[in-house]
Amino acid sequence: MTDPTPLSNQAISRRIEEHAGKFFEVAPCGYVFTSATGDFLRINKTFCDWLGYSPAELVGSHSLIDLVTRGSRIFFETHFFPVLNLQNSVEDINLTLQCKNGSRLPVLITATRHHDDAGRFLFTSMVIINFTVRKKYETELLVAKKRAESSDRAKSYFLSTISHEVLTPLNAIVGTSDLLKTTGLNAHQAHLQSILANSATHILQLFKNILVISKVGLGKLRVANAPFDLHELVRSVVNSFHFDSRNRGLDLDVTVDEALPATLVGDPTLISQLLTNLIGNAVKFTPDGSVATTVKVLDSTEKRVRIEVAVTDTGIGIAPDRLQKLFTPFTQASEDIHAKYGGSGLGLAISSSILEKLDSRMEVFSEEGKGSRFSFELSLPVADPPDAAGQPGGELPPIRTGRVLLVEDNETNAFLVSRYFRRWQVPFDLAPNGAEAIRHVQANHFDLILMDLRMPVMDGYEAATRIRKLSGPRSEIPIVAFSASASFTISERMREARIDDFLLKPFDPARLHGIISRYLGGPVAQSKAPTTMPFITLREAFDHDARELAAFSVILQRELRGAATELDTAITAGNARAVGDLKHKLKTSLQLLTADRLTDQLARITQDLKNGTSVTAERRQAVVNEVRSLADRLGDEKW
Amino acid sequence: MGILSAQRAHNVRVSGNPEGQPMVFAHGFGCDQHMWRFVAPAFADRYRIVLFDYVGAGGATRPFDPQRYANLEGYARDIVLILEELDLHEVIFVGHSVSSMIGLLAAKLNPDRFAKMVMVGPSPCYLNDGDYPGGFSQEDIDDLLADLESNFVGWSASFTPQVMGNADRPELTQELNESFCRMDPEVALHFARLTFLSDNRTDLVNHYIPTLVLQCDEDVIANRQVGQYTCQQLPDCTIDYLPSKGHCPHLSAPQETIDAINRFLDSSSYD
Repeated sequence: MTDPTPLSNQAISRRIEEHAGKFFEVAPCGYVFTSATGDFLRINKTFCDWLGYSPAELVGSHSLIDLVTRGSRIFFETHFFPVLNLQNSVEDINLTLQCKNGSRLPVLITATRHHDDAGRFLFTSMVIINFTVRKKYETELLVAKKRAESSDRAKSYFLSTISHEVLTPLNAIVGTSDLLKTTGLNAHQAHLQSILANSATHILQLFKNILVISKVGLGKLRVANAPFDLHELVRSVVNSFHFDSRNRGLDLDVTVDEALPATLVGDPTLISQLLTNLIGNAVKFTPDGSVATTVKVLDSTEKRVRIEVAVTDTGIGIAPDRLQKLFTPFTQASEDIHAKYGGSGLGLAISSSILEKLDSRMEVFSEEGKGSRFSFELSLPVADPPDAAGQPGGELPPIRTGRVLLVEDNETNAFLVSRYFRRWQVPFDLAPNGAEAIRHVQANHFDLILMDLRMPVMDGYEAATRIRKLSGPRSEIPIVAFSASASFTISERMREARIDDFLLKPFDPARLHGIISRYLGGPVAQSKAPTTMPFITLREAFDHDARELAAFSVILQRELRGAATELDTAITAGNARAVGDLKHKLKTSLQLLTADRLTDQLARITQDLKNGTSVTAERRQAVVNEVRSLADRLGDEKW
Repeated sequence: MGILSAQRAHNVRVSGNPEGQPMVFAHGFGCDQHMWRFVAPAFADRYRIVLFDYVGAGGATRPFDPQRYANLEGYARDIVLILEELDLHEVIFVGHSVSSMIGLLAAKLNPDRFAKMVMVGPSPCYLNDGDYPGGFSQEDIDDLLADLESNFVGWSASFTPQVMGNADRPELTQELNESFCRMDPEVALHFARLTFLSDNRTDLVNHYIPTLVLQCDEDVIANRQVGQYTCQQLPDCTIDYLPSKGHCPHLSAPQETIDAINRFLDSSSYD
């Protein structure tokens, strides 16, 4: 047989065209052309076969949405159609179609809108994939995933709730023992007090660890950026173990590189937690010998320093095959470890979670019977040294003026606050909930209300709102809220309830003292030397979160610049009321910015205008300029 | 106190005539403020245009708080906050789909700020109830929720920004770096439940603000009867029918939508 004459290229192309037409009809996916509104223009055989319709039954009379199940129609109209129209294409959208015989067909649709060169719409093309099998697997997977996630989250929530619940009374115990120390104890009592303090601090540490784990589980662990003295921090953590180790004849050494800058910027709470975990482990697993903590500067510039922190012990060591297990939560290197040494098995797991957040990781060298060395590196910005550290609550000066209403349902917290009040000689009354608070405010005169937000019967927001609606000057009593966080939602609710200020819980005695002095006009403790970090109150209110701070600073700047202009107009016009309104509007912002002088100036100007005293142009200009320069400083600030 | 400005929280964008009467466009479930891009610019000469995103949608940064958004009123409160913060009065509120009811609730919270309202494809209740033909059964809504969940994977993939082949609409290219209808899946599911399971029928009769109902001829989400019912219940309402198919006339028939809104705004000058 001889080969027939070869076909021309043209002839082959024609055959390919014919075959492509068949491909279109019998491809393993649906091909559909529709009008702008989804009316079928052309459908391939595969798609028709799936649905049990003939092309003639659909083209010209039906549109895609007619084939979509009712529930899917909502998705089609609210998601598929808008997005297709807005971006001209969508990919892999899952819809459920209804076949002629009533059965359901899950499909994935990828659609594109086509236009001619002049930009006129031509048609929409769709590639439709049968999704039945994948859908089944996907649904099963989704159910399993949801179940796993919800149980994990439930666990984390549980831990988080329990830890929070425990932290409040624990802080009260630690605070009470702090107060106890200042009451002139004899040697035996002092010894008992130190046991109380150490044990309480120990449990506090455990729960702080649990809180970190649960926050990691909920994706809520955040790193703060605050100035701190690392040398001091290392020393104080090591010191907290002295009581325990001294009885056992263990040496606790600290070696800090002299090149370490005095103040770094980082998260002192997390770093202290890391050190406590590592030193705690080392002390626990070292029957005798030494635990050495070293801080070495590896690298430093004017702006930044890279350090290595290491804790080396001469303890029992860890077998190589057990090293990996160390970092799993609630797992210790071996079961007998727990029997012999106790512990939760949380410390190292948490430490590595924390290090991960700090862009670092734990290095471990260990030899069984010889000892272990745990170390990590950190790269931290260098800060200017701060002036004064906070003072312990017992040594703050008495306030002796004004009367405070303390509204708090938690007895330990109420007890602790009232102890400080007595120390500072602040007269006060106590109300266990919002409803009681209102009765007190109606019956007596108060200069300040300190109120918890979450209380039974009537919460803080509701109580504040109602107090603001009372008649006479009592509706204007400053209200300071105890809040567990400064989140946007909470602060917005506070603003709505016209709460003037807030104090984070668990509270720092110095801060409590500061806020009370400010509202009652008592002596301000030596906090007048401002911290070297500008806008520290603002930073703390946002947990030193640079992103939130930068965003919020923009809002503040806008507010301040707007207010400067309005202020200019209002003072020029001698409008006391308008100036007063502005003062009120700016109050929270100025407090956050610790612009006390500006607050005073505004108050004086308002008063002068009310009294009919005119305000000179220089004075007006000065205050307006100050508001503007505050905005400028915010704009220049690096968060 | 950390005060999140409503403007930042809801990605508020103000444009148009700064001296003009404010016109606030509220997007519906499933999308974000981009939905209005074919319609809103037509009013920019005469009106001050305000666009925003609901919590969980588009560029909104407000953290989702299930308690705050336990009902549609939570969403309405956000609108009121925006109006108060921008100090808008005499507002013409244009709401699509569920935003019609959210706008209605916002007007109930603060009626003084609203002058007129346009409801595009409104439905006070999507579920069938006795004689009331909402259009959907509980099973249908369950199907929708299943669709939503199943689509979360594909959904995010669909929203990567892409170049659009729109030579005739060069103004669209500046939006290339943004994606349309971004949403937080968890919030979207919650919003879907609220949208399709809420019943605001009793709120209609107390809404005294002059309102236009824009009803598409063929809308499977909000059918004709529902549109007519809505308008009958509203004390001061006009209904206009658009010869358009689907639930999004502002996308499929933008010019007809613009014309209908203009007719309504011009028919009764505010007194």
